[in-house]
Amino acid sequence: MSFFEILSVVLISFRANKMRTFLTLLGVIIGVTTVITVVSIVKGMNRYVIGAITRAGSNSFRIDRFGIITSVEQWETAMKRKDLTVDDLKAVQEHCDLCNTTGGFTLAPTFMNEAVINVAAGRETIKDIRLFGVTSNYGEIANREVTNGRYLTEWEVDHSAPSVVLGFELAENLFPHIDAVGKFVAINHRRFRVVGVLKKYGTIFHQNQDVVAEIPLTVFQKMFGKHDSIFIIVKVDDLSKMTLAQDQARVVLRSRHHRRYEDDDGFSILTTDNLIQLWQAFSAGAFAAMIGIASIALVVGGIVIMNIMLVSVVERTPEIGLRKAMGARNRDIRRQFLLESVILAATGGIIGILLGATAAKLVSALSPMPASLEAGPVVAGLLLASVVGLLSGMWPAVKAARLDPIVALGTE
Amino acid sequence: MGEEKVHALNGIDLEIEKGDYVAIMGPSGSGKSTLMYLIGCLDTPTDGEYWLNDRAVRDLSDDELARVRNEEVGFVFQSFHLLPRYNALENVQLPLVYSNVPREERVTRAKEALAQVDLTDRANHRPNELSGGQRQRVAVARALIGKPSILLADEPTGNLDSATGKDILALFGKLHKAGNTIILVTHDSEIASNAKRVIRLRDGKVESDVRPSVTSNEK
Repeated sequence: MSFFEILSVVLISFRANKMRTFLTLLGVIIGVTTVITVVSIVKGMNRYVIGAITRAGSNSFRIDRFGIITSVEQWETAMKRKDLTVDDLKAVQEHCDLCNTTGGFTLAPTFMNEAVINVAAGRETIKDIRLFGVTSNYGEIANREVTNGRYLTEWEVDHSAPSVVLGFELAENLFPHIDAVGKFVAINHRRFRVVGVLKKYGTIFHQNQDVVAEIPLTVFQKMFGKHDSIFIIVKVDDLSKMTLAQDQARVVLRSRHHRRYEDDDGFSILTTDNLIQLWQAFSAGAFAAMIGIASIALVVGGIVIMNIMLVSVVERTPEIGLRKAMGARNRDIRRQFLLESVILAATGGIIGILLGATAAKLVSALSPMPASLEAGPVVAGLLLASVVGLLSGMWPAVKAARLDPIVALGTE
Repeated sequence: MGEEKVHALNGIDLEIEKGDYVAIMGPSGSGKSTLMYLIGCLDTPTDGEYWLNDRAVRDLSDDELARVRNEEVGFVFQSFHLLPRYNALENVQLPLVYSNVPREERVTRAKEALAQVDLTDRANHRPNELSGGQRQRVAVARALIGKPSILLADEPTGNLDSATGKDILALFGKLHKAGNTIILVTHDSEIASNAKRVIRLRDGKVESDVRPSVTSNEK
């Protein structure tokens, strides 16, 4: 009995039990859908986030009081660290000669001490924006692109000029249909003149990059005080000097902070590589968790298929007896049921792939997260489903093949 | 099994010639079903021998038995045993599927077989669209398609009314005249009287073996 012969037998029995077939497949469908969706989204997100992280440029690093904190212990030691100040920034500027461009920024704490930043223009008020105090070279180091107007100048920063660069969405919402540049806005009741509008950047880690406002660091410190640590950012033109430049900056700051030889830095240096590694560790965790869920669904799906195949063997006992009487060998019967189980599961796999692809498409349509469907996960999903079918069909198939034709013919 | 050994058949010594029309009769429990399964190679004797076309069936493996069933035996069952989701033409092809005959040839031969039982116009009907007699004729066509050495029928009229049963028996008569070897298993002496030779079993032994030559020929 050829493959196609068995295939037609199998399809005929599917057609006869449509609803049952569908319910049987549910587990496998859910499993494969999960795999495809998760893999697509994680892959897309990887690309997106890494793109977003590297947009700052792989030739820059950031010095920050806290660094990446992943435990309470790290938080506790970081809290004891010294703040980074504008003087620290100036020291790095002065003494780190490999640091080609050194700038700084600070960020209004948004939720910790409820210093909610509002920005208003006319009757329009937008609450809870992210406000940055920056040096004039921040735009260059962080690759901030201005689509309209210009970025802050050194003069403005030095003289605490009330100028602001608005994020794309902020400008759109405050000044719909008109040019924001040259207009005035009020940030927490202080008047600022809009000098530029940033490019649209989208959302990273749930943070809308377009609801931001960037003002001179000096103005920021007048508004909120100088007690908060700033971030120092450094751009290194020669990529091969990155590590050396970091070391230089480290030495400068350590000596300013009077760190002894055995002490740690008391600050952290972050590169885009660090961030990418962090992200990859995080996404690998999410990935593993979802694969775990998918495996459970597949195992359950496999058990359901085995169960329904056992029912099918019992139901079709007379048919098995007849086929044997007509000359079917044990292996013909075995193959028929095994193939039926595999085709059943693979059908579930195909449905799962289609659903997963749709889900991934939907996610990328409804959110700025791109999802990329690739051949690898599709083949893997199909293979996975087939293996589930093969494993769960084995026992029922052997059981069917072993039926004594005389007994089988007698049951009706 | 239990402590007591029961032999469904014991000391049977039979020879059936090619082209004969034999009825095996006996009440239930007489061993006629067991004998039929042995003849049909669905079972092998625990002791003794069975030769089919010069082959010792006892020594055959499961696969070889399957092949013998496929090539040498055409089964007709009391309850027809048609596959409900296939039409008549597809049902008739079943034995050829297991002997790897290519599809086109299978269809041609299935049509011929259906013609032999006068069901050409019912080829595309499924079993539930056929009458009992028609279903049994499909089953007969299926039994014939592999050109078997033996046509083995187990109570072929048992599920049919007597008029339809007569039609089926007439069909067997016709097939016998065409040269087929037919073995008919029944408990009904009236049906058995259609055969050329009647073997009666009782308690696993042959009770009588006669040729009621003249009487049945007039039908």
